[in-house]
Amino acid sequence: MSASAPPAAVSLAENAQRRVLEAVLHYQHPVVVVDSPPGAGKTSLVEAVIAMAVLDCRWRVAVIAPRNEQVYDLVRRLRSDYQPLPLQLLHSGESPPPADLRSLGIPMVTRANALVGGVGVVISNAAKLAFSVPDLTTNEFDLLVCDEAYQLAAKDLDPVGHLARRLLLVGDPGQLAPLVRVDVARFEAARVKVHWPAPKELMRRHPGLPRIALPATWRLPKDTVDFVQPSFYPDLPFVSGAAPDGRRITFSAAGMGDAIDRALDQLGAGATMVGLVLPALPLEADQVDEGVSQAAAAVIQRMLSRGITWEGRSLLTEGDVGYVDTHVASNAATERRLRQLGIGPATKTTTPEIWQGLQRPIMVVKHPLSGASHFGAFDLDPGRLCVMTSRHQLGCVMVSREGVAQALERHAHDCSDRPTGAEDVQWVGWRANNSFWSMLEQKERLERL
Amino acid sequence: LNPPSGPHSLARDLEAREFAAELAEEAAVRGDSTVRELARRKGRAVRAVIASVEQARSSRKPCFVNLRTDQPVLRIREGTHLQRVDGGVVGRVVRVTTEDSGQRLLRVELSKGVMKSTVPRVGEESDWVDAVPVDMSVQRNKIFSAMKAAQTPLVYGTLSSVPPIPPPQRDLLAVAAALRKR
Repeated sequence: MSASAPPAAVSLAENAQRRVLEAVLHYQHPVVVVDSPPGAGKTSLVEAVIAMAVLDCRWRVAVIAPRNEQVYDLVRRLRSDYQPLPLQLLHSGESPPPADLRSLGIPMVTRANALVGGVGVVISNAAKLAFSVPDLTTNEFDLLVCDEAYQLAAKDLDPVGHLARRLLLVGDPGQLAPLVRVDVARFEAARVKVHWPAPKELMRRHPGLPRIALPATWRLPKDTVDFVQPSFYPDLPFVSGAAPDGRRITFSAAGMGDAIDRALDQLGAGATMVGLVLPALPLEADQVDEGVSQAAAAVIQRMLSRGITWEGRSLLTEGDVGYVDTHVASNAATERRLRQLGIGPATKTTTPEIWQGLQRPIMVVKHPLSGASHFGAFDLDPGRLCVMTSRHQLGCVMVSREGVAQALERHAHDCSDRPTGAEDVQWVGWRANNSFWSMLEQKERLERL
Repeated sequence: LNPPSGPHSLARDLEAREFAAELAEEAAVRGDSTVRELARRKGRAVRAVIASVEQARSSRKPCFVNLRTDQPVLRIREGTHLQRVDGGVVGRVVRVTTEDSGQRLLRVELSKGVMKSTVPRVGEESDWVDAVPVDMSVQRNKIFSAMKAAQTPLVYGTLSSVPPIPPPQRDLLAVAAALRKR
């Protein structure tokens, strides 16, 4: 939350944070769900709740997150942001924490029966805490906090549910759901949805759960919110807390006037979501689209060579730009093109799964439907496109082949293998993709090569 | 033969099916060179040369091998488990670095194959795959049995209230802010 953020957004956000603190620390209800849009300060909120619970209420708190990296990040932030908390890290013996954490002097144990009791925080990934259940007692903790809860399947949260009297789940409902490697039709038809994201399943089981929405994103500018919120968060209204005059891009050099420069000039004129469209090209299944990779690398090189600057802050460098592509092979192709253009590994190129939780001032995105004539569940997953289009603070350039709108229009939606009553995620994805692309067209944000 | 319906049995079933899928994937990628080639194109299998072996005491852990590859597509990161395609050597990637030549160096800490007779030799070229299924069914069954025994209302019933704490007479957000480092 910056000092120059719009006062209305600040006030909305503070009220929501206050409600969360009161709900967790004072409500009679044992479970609280917090829904957060991208960049709304989830982790800061989690930190505040933990600090209050431990330092003010003198509680024993367990904190879990789906992945080790998320756990380590939380430990670092708690250490740097708050007064010293009694903190213990429970980790797998096979995955020792990184060296910087080991140097912080935090007690680290691999067995739950080695944990020191009493007031304090125990942080672990969800799987490790679940495997430690035999060594822990019912209501061992006063509070269990689950960060990035929508990335955790219900089957992974259920086994630890009895470890605490109160439960706080914080997460982003619009992003990628937990990965399940098998056909889930039989589980979708079951009475209990163990494969669903944990908060979603808990709210289905207990419809009256208190659910608090964070109302403002500090990462995304207003223009981006106008694209992302209606497409991916129709049930979660939120505004941008970014000060409009704090998110301006300037270029020190004029462009040559081609499509790439026109797209970049749109960014300079205040648009934060623009598209660069290449001529259509039929591709084989799994064929890497070298043309799109080349164009994406050229966009990055062009913005850097034109001296892209975050107005009032600094000249942006290679590390301020990221590239996201749904396929590892085409990420590698773009990386190769970037190296050929003299751009180093500071420009991170990877998949949406890895980009979750990260941000950069500028993102270049390969549209997940680019070049595809038929779409499957993977292509249409709304969470994937949502992650890809919500990592940037200043601007996003989406690179795609011509034909996305036509392919979306032609798409014959097949719901024959969907269990009756099950949510049609592909349809949700189609609608999100269609809404997003239509907005790019309506707002004249597409520049054609 | 009733299908699973309780949260514990459904969770156990889903875990079992996921493990079976992992086993099938491992068998395919290790046993079928065409599948392995496809996996290599997606970066999930890697052909690499042993650049060096670091083992302070023969036949003992810790043992690290450095794998060098010029494969352009790699989906292998720190923490990825790798096994040599013959299954004789297994380890965890602890570091991935890119050399000036553009080749990638994977530093792998071995958990299997550290004996003198099995440890990889410098210069040896082999395929490594990221499919390393680990059977956790015994541990998971314990967890799901404990979950069933606990019959927590969160999973099995109706949530009841927790003892109320008097409503705050102060601004909790301000208190939280005061706890932050200055």
